Amino acid sequence: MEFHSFQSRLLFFFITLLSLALVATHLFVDLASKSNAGQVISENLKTGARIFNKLMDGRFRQLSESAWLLSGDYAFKLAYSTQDYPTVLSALTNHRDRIGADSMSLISMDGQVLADTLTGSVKPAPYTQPGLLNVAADEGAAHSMTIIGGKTYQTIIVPLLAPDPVAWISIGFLVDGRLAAELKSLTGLEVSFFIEKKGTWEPITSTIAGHIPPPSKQIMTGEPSKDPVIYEASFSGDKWLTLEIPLAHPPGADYEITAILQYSLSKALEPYKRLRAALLLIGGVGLAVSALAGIFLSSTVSRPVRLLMKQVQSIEGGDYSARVSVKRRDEIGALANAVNNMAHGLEEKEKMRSLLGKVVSLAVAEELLSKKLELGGEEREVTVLFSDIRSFTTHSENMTPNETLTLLNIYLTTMAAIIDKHGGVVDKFIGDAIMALFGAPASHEDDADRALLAALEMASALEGLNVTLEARGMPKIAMGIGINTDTVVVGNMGSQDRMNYTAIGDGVNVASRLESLTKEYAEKIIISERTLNSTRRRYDTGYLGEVLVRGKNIPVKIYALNGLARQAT
Amino acid sequence: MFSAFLFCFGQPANAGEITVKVVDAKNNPLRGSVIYAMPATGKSPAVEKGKMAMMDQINKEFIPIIMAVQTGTAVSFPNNDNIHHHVYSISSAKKFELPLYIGSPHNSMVFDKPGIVALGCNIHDWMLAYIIVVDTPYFTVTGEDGMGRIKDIPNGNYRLTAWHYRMKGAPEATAVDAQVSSDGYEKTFTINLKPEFRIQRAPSISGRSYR
Repeated sequence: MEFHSFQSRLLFFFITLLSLALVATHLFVDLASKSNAGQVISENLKTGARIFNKLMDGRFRQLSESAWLLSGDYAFKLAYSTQDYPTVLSALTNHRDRIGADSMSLISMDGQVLADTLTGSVKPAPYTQPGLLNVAADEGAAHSMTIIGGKTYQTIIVPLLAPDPVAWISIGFLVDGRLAAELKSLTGLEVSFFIEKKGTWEPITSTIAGHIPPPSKQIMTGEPSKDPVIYEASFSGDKWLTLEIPLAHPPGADYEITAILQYSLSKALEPYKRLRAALLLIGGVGLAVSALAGIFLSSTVSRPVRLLMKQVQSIEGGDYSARVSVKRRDEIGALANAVNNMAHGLEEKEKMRSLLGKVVSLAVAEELLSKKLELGGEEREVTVLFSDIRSFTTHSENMTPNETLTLLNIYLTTMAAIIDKHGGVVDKFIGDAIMALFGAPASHEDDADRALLAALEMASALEGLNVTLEARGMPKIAMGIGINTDTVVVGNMGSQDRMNYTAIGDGVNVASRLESLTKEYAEKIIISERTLNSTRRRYDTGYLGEVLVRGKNIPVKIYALNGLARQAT
Repeated sequence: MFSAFLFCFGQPANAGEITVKVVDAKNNPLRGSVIYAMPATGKSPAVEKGKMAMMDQINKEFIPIIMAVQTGTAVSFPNNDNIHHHVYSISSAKKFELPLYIGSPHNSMVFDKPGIVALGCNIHDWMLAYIIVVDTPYFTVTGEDGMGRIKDIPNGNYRLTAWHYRMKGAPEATAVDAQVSSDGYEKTFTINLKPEFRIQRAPSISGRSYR
């Protein structure tokens, strides 16, 4: 299918239009989904941060509950009152296991650790986080992130009430992968903990495998619970929206602990990727469907157009019989009908033309068909040729009518063909006589020459014909030809319903008269002086004399035509 | 002055009265502060034989919340509620427990060592009372107005000490030497308080309330 064809252009138009719409949709969805994803993650992060804070608070509260249980535990008070610290230590260990804590210690009101499950020591030693004890003294209890033995703990300090505070109980819960995993499962965010000591950040634990960039301190300003700062970090071949939450540390501590909440951008874009894939699929299907629809639609137009084109081409090639079958009510249907009608008209005309050609000369038929058919004529200089078989009546008496007709037909066909060949027009057959015109309806500059050449060829053809007739056992025939050139009236003559294209005038009578003179002069071809004067070529002629033709006052000089002039030496 | 004049009548000629006022840093009168005067000689009169004190439990509270006794005083712990109490102390001045009981325990408890005894109930976390055991019969507990009087105290030199269960630092820091005469002795103690943290009686069934 060529690109310039109607069908391909229609298809191109369809697909371009749809593609534009699809691309626009795609771009818009892409843009919207990206900005939406960013927004959603930001919201997720903020919500996650709130949940994180709530969870950490809740965890502290829950841990506090456990601590408070010990604080009011009568058996523990009694154990404490014994001042037997190995007993106290084992009671602490027992309680630690009961609540699933990771460390537990008893601290005197003046800040001495009396028993510690982490070290197993019962030798009094100063508590490492005196700042936290001060907070507890002011607030009644305290909680914070603490570093004990290089590990990070969520630590709670509550008083041992007997029933007034007599000592501090410190309970620690390890900040480890388990906690991070739990927080991740609840917030849906990646959770990492970092510790800063002497200006260096070290990871404590993280739910993300591999290297994670440490917190960027400049954004750690402000209350984490208010409107946290969210920034984008790139690592592990992904982009992460990141939010940092500074965690409480004891006053005066030489370290800071920060939680980092992160969400993978690629993970967030996953549903949009699916949407994009779905869009692409829909787009592809849409394109295919519209291409098919376009092909179908354009073929409904182009197929009949192609059929019409083929038909018109065959009409152009001369075949009028083909009909195109387009059953439609639209413009194309109308066009097809018109083409069919046109073909029918042309076919009719052609039939007429070929029929006419048989009845009259082809040139006359052309003339008749080309003009409006009406009575009337025009004056033209025409060379008129008359031929006749000498004493044909005598011949025919010895033959059956059928034989006569066969002979005539052979003769007339041969002669008419020669006249036709030289551009003459058989005006009519009159029995065995032929009247032919040179110069009407179509005139040539050498009409006289054409008539002479035709006459010469007719004469020589007759010799060939006679050989044939002799072979068939038929009598030989002789022929006389008279030729005259004159201005005559040519045109359609007859009635309105039936007319003949012919020539009328003295010139025609003279030609007929010259033909009948051939017998007297015993010449095959006799031409008038005017005809001879009209020729352009030179002929071998013989002057016969002047004759008076009936109806003509001035005698006419006549010549016998013998052949073409011999080549001058 | 008029009241002082009245008191003068009822006293032996060689005795006086110590009048104290206890306020906090904001000059608010401080109730439940114990003021006691130790003779400078170091020799206090012995406790009266059979001296008894009572620490009631009514409606799941100790009454009184602050009680001062002279060393050697016997204290009884009658339970006026219709449920059990389990009174205990792990203070070094007097460690004891009265496991679940109703009504009056058979024996009262002699507080034979000076010091501060914090009392609790093993079943009711919020129940808290202090018994201050001092080596002198000259003591008082301030009332709503922050005022306390030690009457009929023989003239002489004393070490006057104030104590409050919320006081910051040791009581000795506030102690003053007081010369008591028939004209009496007046003193205002200013005590810095620390935040009070104790288990409050829950207003509802659920939740612990602390402070």
